[in-house]
Order: sequence, then C-alpha cells, then structure tokens
Amino acid sequence: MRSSKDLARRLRFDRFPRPDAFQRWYPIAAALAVVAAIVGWLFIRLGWHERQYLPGPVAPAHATFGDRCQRCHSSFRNVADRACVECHVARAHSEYELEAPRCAACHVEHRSDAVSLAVSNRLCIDCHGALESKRQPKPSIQTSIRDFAEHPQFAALREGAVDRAVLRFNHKLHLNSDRIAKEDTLSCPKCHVPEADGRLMKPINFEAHCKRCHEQKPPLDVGPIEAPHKEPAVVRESIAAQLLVLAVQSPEVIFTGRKSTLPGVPDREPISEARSLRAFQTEWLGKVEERLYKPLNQQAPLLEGNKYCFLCHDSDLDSSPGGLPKIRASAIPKRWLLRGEFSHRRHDSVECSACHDQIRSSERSSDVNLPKRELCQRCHSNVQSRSAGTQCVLCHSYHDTSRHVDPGAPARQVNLGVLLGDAEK
Amino acid sequence: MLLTSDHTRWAVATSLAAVVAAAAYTVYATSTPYGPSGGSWPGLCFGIAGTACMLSAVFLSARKKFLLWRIGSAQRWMKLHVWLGLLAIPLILFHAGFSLGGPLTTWLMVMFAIVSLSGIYGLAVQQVIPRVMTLRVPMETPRSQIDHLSASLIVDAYEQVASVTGHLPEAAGEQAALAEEEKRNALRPGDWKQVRRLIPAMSPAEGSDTLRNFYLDTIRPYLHRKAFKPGVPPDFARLRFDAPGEWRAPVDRLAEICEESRQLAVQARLHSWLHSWLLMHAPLSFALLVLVAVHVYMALHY
Repeated sequence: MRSSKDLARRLRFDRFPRPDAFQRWYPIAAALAVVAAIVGWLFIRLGWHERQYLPGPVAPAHATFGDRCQRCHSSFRNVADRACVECHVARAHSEYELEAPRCAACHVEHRSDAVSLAVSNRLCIDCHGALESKRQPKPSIQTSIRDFAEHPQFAALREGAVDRAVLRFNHKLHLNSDRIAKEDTLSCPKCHVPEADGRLMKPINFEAHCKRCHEQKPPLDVGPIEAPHKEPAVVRESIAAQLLVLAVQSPEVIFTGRKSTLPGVPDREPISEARSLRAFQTEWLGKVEERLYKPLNQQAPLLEGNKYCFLCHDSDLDSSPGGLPKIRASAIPKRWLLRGEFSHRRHDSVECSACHDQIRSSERSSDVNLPKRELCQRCHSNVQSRSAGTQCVLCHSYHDTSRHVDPGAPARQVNLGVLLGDAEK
Repeated sequence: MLLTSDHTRWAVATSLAAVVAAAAYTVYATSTPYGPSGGSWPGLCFGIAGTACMLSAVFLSARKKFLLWRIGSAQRWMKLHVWLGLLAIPLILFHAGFSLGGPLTTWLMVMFAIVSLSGIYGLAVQQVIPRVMTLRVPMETPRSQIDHLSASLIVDAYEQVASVTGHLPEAAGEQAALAEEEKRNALRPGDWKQVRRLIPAMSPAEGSDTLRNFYLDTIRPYLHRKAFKPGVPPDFARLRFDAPGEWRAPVDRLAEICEESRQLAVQARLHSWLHSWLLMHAPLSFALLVLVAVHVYMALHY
C-alpha cells in the first residue's frame, strides 16, 4: 500500500486547474434553469394569458371577463366597489350600520364557485353579535345573535301577533268538509301556487280558486246575472249592463208577461211593473245588490244564509256615495317573513302539513299558520351531522331588498354592454 | 455539511419559529371565514417571511463567490442556508394556504417542492456518504485528482509488467506516457515529485507469457474501464500460484494498483451522489427566484 508521501508525490496541482465536470456543468445548468423558467413562464403566458395569475377560479358569473383582469382590478390597489356597481345594483344594508364594508369583504372572488355568494356567518355576527355596542338608539331587532339557535321567534308568531287580514277564511272547513264533492276536495297546492322563482306563493285569486264553488250568481226570476269579483261600483255597472241586455233580449218575460198555450198552465205575469228600461234597471239593480250585500248573519247556516260578498269580506261602517258598501281591503300579507327569505321550492320535498301542521284545525282567519322557528331548527341545526345549514344568508340578504323601489325586480341588473366590453369592439 | 451539536441552537430556533408560525396559521385559518389566502394580511406576512428565508438561503452562493469578504464564516452561512431553507417550507405552505392556486403559482410550487426536496436529499446524503467513504475508500484522494491518479495507475501497472516482460507493443499509450514523464523529469531534475521508475526488462523473463497475457487480457482492460465503474478487480490468486518467487513484488504491486483503481472508482461514484443533487438544487433555486419576482410583482399589481 502506498504511503501518503507516495500519494502526494503523484498528485498534480496545476496553477490553472481544469474545472471538473461538476464545476463545468454548474453555471451551464444554472443558466439553463433560469432560461427554462422564463420560457416556461412565457409558455404559460401563451396558453393562459392574464389568467395565469389567477389565485383560483372566478365565479361563473364573471367568466365572461376572460383575461381582462383590469375589468375589476386596478394597478397596485384593492378592487374598488365601483367595479362591482358598474354591473350590480348597490343597495344599502341598514341605517344602523356604522360603516358599509367593501363589496369584496363579503363577496370573495377567486375561490371555489360557491364562495363568492356564500357569506360567512362570522361577518354577520361581527355586528349582530352585539348590536347594542355599535350604535344608539338601539335598533328594533334582537341586538345579540350569534347563531341560528339564538334566533328570535319569527315576528309573525310572537305573542299577540295575529293574522290581520280582513277576510274570513276557514282552512279547517275547506280542507275537511264532507260537503265538498270528492273531485273538488281541496288540498294546499290547489290554491297555494309558488311564484316563478319558487319563493313566495302567488296571491289567492277569486276567479281561479274560489269561483268554482262560490259563484256570485243570485238566483233571480229576471234571469242569470253574475256579479264580477270587483269593487262595488264596478259590480253595479256590470249588473246594470246585464239587466239591460236581459230586458232587450226578453221583453215579454219582463214587461208584458206571456200567455199560456197549455191547458191548466196559468199565464206568466210580467216580473216588473216598470214602464221603462231605466225604471226596470233601477228596480232590479236594487234587488240584486240587496242580495249581494246582505250582511253576514252569524245565526244563519253559513252557506245557506251567507253566499255572497260578506261571507268573506267586511265593509266599513260608512258607505260610499250611491249607497254602495265600502268593502275593506282584504290586506292579505304578501309575505310573512318580512326580513327573511323563504323558498317553497327548495322545501318541496317536504309535505305542506309537515311545516304547517295546524292548518287542518285552523278555523279562524286570525290564525297565523306559519311554522315556528323551532321547526326550522329541526333541520337547520349545528348539532346535526346532516344539517341543512345555519348560514344567515340562507334566509337573510345583507342588501336590503325590501326598500328597493321595485321589490319584484331581479336582484342583479347586469349591464350587458359592460360585460361584453372589448368583445363587442 | 454534517449536522453536529453545533446546529442545536439553529435547530431549536428554527423549530420554535416553525411552531409559532404554525400556531399563527392555525388561528388565522380557523378565524377567516373563507379559508386562508395568500392575499390576506396574514398570508402576505407568511409570504414575505418565506421569501426572505429563501433569499437568505440563496445568499450562500454569493458568499461563496466573495470568499474574502468579512461577512461571517462560510460555515455560519451554510447553517443559515440549511435552517432558513427548511423554515421557508412551512412559511411558503402557510402563505399558499396549502393550495396550488393558478397556473403560475402551481408552477412556482412545483419548483419550490423540487428545490426543497433536493435540498433535504442533499442534506441527508451529506450525513451518510462521508462515513461510507471513510469505510469503503481508505485510499481517499482529493476529488479533482481522481482522473489524474487513474491515468498514472495505468502507467504504474505497465511499469511493473514491463520490468518482467520487457516492452509490450500493445501498450503504446503507456509507453508514450512514460516517455513524456521522462522528458519532463529531464527538464526539472531536482523536482521532489519525480518517481523512480523500474527499468523495463531487456528481454522477457522465462515464463513471463503468463504475466503478459494476464496483464493484456485482464489487468489493462480493468484499468482502462470507465472511471465511475468500480467493477470486479482481477483475481490474482492463480497468477500468484504460477508466478516464480522473483515476480512476487510486481504481482503484489499490480494487485494494489487494481485495488486502488477500484477505490478511486468507488470514491468517484460516491462523490457524484454527494454533489450531483446540487446540479438540480442550485440552478432551480435561481430559476425559482426569477419566477418569485414575477409572482410578487403581478400579485401586487393585481
């Protein structure tokens, strides 16, 4: 074995040593890697353009922006609210709000598709967890709420709250009566039909839902006359016109009478002694209106004694000019949850009676047959493993849509010109 | 670099920083409604800290370029490189919120992963291979001398064989190298590195065909193999059995030469394992920095 001296004798230390393979390749590899990184970036740029910088997918509604990041973003600044209100209608939240947050504070972009509208409860609780401390005077809503479990009872169901609609309607009678023919048996969907958006129910319509059984046709000798389901003045005009038509079509029945041609059958007397159409009209108009506007007789059998307007409606004490009654507006609430939204369509897998469980026994119009908060909490609960969710935004919208000039207008009014932008040019 | 007890303070400081960062990230991730994001203030802080660690780690290269600068010892810079590089991994993951993001950030994360993993591999390899080399390569040589030594072993082997068999026309290359060395020695007569060479035999010794054939068929091809292949050294048992007593010294020397050649090959291979990862780690680090600069600029721009 050679000694260290032997080994040292054989080593060659050049003044200008030739770099070994590693030393030769190192700068080349470094340069190549930097060039490859830049080429890779340019390659990404070719395929993805500005989208390469996206930290995550944009919401589908913003997909039309494509590569135009500057549609919302401006250089070295946060996204300004004006970028949002260019397309979306801006709505205030509440007069109690100290400072309106930026749109992007709640509507987070570049996350999963669902995130931009799924506002977290935490953002709501930031203020609604302790509203008292935020501003005086106190708002008229519960000032401390951190979870759906702490949600107060719905306003329409709180103590003393009644259905103040001025309309007599007996759900029990309509749903259970044995006097309704089998083919006409009523069920909830026969009268209550959701709006096109699936949220509220369409208003009950007399022509569509009531008229089939509650025809406003007083049985009179003069002939068939039907009162339209309108204000008394309109009804009067309509009946007067129908009476004129009857008088012109069958004058022998009304004015002259008819001689019998059959033995044993007496002659038919004229039904009116009036000598003019006007007199006839006035006479019979009074008779028809007397029937129609007969006050509700609580003592008489309900249907036999009370068939017409005041079976359901009430009138004000003072009558309008011309002796016509003044029918009180029925004032059926269009929506019961004034601050919350509810979608019947999203709950259509549930039987109506599962939520409106008192409806078959509800006899009074003043009954509020709204399901209680506790019933909602059976599914919308944090303690369940398969909860339907307890996010505030499931029912509440931050933006106060109830004060918008047109509550029926869509929440978003998209300016297509802005959307299409450069593409149109 | 061996991780010794000198690293304890660094390891503890890095672990503490990582734990604090993890705790801060946990609080942030659980309190933010939409999950963590690199664009939020906590996310930006993690990003800035992570990038600072990466930059500090890259400064090691600069330190190596300016050896004479009084900016701390290379050893200290290497510790800084290792531990801040490791700390950058959780910080960058916290910055990204454990997601890849868009195409550019995905590309960045892939490169960062390669750089980090290659660095960890390199660190692990440096803990193991020097020990293996001490055990398996007793005749360790400076890495830069391996090629030179391998070439001189070829000439040494020929010298030993030629001292018995005389010149071998088949080994023209070795003869040329010896002639070159002789010429060089003549130019520098007092050089202490001069090696006293054996004189080739005037005529082949009796029965030297055995050695000649063994050299040409086995020893010479083995010494001329590729430098990174240790291979199986020739078996000298039969030659020792057949060779006369006066050949013992050259035969033993030939066996030593083959063993030294094998060890040089083992050392070359171990060296390649020890350093080849750097060819990926360091260049990709520079490339990563370029893309990080693009990412930072575009993130702030939008």
